[in-house]
Amino acid sequence: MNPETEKQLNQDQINNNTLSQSPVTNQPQQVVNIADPTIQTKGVMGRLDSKQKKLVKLFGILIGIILALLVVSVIVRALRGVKKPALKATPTPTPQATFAPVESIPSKYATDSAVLQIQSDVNNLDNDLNNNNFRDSNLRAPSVRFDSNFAIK
Amino acid sequence: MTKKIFIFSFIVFLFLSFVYRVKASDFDKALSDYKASVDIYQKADNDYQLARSQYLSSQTLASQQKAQQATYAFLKARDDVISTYLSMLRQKITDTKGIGDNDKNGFYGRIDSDVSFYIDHRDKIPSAGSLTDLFSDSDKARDHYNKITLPLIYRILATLPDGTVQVFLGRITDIIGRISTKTSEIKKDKDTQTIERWIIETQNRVDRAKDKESSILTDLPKIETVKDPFSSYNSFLGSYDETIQYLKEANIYLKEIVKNIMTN
Repeated sequence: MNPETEKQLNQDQINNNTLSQSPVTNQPQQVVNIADPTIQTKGVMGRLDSKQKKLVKLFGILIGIILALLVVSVIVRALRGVKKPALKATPTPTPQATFAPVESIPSKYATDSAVLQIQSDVNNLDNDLNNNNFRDSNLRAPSVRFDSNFAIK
Repeated sequence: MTKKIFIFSFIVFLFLSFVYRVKASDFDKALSDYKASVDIYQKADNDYQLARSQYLSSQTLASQQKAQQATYAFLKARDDVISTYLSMLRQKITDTKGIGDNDKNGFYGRIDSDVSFYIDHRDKIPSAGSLTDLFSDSDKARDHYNKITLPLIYRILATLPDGTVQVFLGRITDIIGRISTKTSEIKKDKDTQTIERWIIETQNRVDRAKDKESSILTDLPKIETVKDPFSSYNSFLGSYDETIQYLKEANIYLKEIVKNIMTN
């Protein structure tokens, strides 16, 4: 190794040592903690002009209002839920006439054979009248065609 | 001796049940014959339509021959449908109570004459006739059907419900009569003013039903001269429904009267 190269190496070593050793002892150096958000914001805000700052503030206020409204709505809902249940639409009940059962005392004709026969005949007639049907599909007039005269060329 | 009586009774029972079954199935048999003829007619009609279109498109002698055969079968089947329908209608008249003998006999005569026409017409259709001959035969049947058969069919169809109404009127009048007799008897025991008033109300309903039925009978013959007997027939059915409604109301009153009689 020539003396020039050796001198250069020594100089490099001295420089390295200076860097690796704590600088506190030599001269005070300001350490910037980049994880600190305030410092970061401050840095960003610092770079904005007054107009942009106003916009950011306005945006912040809007977000704040929205959040406040959300919180209020959640609270109101919670309170309503506790105080009274949600109303359900239910139809108005139809009034139904209730008749007190009329006590009917059977007369001496309740067991009369002629009256019983009349009662039976009336019931049979009622049944026949209700089941009567004048529209018997079997009796419908036959569906036949008479247009058999086709053109003969 | 007991054994002989038992065997005799059994034979009588078998005979009566057989007679009853035969009588009850007359209309069913006529209906079954009619339905069978409708099936044959529908098949003949389809064959006729096909042969017709083939003949009109090809105009060959073979297709003409087929058209003649199909038209012949179609016309015969059509005559059968009409005659079996009329026979079924005849049986229905026989089974329907409440129609007077004069009316029944009048209808029988007209139906028999009409059935004879269609049987005769069917037998006279020439199997080897030309298409022109066949169409001429078809026109004869068409004219007869429109002028004679159709008015007769709707006249009968509009008359049949009157038989039923007559039967109902007879039954309700009989019941009212018996209730009136019983009311006279009850009069000795209790106040029957209400019952008598209700009987009058019931009779009023029956009278309205009678009036309605009477006006139907007056108008019935017109069905044979109108242009559209089908709509006229439907109109008559509506009037019969009104008659039945009056009778239903009258019968509801009768129920109340009976209830009143049976209670104090």
